[in-house]
Amino acid sequence: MPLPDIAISIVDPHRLTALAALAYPERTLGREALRDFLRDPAVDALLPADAHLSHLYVGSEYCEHLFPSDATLALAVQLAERWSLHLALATPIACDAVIARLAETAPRLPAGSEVIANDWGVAHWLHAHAPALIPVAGRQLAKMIKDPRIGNPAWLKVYPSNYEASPFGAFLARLGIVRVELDVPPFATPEVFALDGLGVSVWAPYAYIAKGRICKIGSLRQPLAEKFASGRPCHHECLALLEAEPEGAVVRGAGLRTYSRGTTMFYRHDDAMHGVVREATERGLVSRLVLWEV
Amino acid sequence: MEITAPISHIDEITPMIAAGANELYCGVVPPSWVAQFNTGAVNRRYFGNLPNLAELEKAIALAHAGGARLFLVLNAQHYGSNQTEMLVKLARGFAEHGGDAVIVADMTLIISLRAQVPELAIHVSSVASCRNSAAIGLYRDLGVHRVILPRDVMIAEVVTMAHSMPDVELEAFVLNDGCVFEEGVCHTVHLPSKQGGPICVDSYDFHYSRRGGRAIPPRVARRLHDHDEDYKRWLWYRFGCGFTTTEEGFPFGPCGLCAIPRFAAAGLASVKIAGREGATARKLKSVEMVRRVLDVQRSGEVENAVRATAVGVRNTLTHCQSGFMCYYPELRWQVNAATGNPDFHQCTAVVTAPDR
Repeated sequence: MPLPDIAISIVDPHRLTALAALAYPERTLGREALRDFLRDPAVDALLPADAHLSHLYVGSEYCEHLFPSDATLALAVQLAERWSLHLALATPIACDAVIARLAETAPRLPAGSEVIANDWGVAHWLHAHAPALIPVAGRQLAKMIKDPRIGNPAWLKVYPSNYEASPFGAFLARLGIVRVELDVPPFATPEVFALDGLGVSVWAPYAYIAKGRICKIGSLRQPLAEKFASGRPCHHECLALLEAEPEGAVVRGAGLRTYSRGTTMFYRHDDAMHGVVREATERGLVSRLVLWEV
Repeated sequence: MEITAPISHIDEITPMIAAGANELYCGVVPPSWVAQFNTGAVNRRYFGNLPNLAELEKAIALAHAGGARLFLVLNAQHYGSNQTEMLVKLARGFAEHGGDAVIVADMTLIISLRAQVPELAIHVSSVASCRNSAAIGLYRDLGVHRVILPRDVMIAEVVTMAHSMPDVELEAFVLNDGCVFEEGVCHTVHLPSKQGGPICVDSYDFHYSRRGGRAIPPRVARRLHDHDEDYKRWLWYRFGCGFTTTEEGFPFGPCGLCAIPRFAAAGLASVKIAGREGATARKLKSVEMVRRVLDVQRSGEVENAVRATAVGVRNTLTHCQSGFMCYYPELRWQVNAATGNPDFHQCTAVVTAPDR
């Protein structure tokens, strides 16, 4: 089995601090360390025994308010050096202010770092202004039906992934993009990840369903008249509070447990999806697994 | 600044133009598409489309006869290769019959259309989630003519983009559309209502939990409960206030009329009325409402006079004061607490940069 890159994605600065506190003296973080950190049985289901962490993602793909602070970014750079990890900055759909912030941040990233772009404007800006950084097409640029309420795979056939359309590779190459990131849709088969000429990263064990700009929980401390609007100050309530279908709830359609955090809804993979990811990895269709928490 | 309005039947064209629309948009579902792909969803809508190409030809002729332009919507988030080929043929036929522009979100389709139907203008759909100047610049380089901005942009952001990309037309929402999630990154299907409907209003029984599994204190639980009630109220506004109208038939629901003076000053090409599937009467009243406000703006009235017209059309101050009905709530009508007089509130708390 080809050994894939293993990445971990961290949005919450406190979790990055917790990662820094891991008491593993080795130069690399292996499966045991990842299991201890994530406390998620899916790690065992997904990772080969000799897997070790190769990439550290920092930042949010879902919210402009969670762009890493300078201190968080400095810690991420430090941890990447400690464990010989490649660094990736995750970025959301951007307004002009986010791109301005990216312009400030880019020089602080080690040369060869990746930027996960979920906005064509971000990818365009990187290509034009940050040649030392590697743009990666994030999952929000990958279009596919991921509605957990649907009980059959028909929609996957009606609207296959946008990356399956032939002119896309040339367009990505124009922006210097050679890697794309994907979620595991309901009823996926390994062939979903078979994309000629592109490196494929798959996120597990969760997928995002839908993302807004309006944030319910981010409005919690706003006066009534300022709630549920773009651009208001945020106290990052999403980092502390999660909404989830309760354990044992009757889940519909594809049978996937659903969550909501901040601007975004997610589902957790089931055992069949873990199997699809393993098979796609074994067949060399997936060259990177990105582990993350919701 | 033009009014861009939806039609779903050719009989709507002449009255919509008479009500004040200068630009019309529609979808079409050719029978060949249904036969080949076994779905009616050419443009994310099963309903509200013209039924065939003959009707589309008539629509072009009727729109042009009334002095309006007609745009064809091909704005699914993504299409497969076979679908793209068929859509290019559809767009070529639309151009040959004089159609004015196609509204597209999928990058592959944009590239294919530019290469194969270069004479046809392309408008980037709001489904493309294009809300920064760099993205507009990329689309400009690909040869697009206009970008339709997504919902939930702020007025200041719109003005910035308009100033930094003056060679690309911009269009902004002004009435009727109410998704909670961003259209371009919502990977769901609008199911029939008995199966849950749109996922943003589906009856999920979510429970709150804290990071690390800690219990939620009762005081916080009460606050969350109250907040959820506020959110439900906001959802009601977001979804058209239950699709209610004034006695005169003017629709309630998401509205950006108060932003018209700022958009006009920024040089926006048009304001968009959403709702292809809506009833004809609702569409006509929507156009009429926007036209009234635009006419006041064009007459040279000061901003507050234009906004007073906007609020006055529906004359339902409680809705306008709530801010929940506003696309751009940073600028809304409310009673001035100091003077007791109606005034326009400019939210000063708006931040446009990420937190540090």
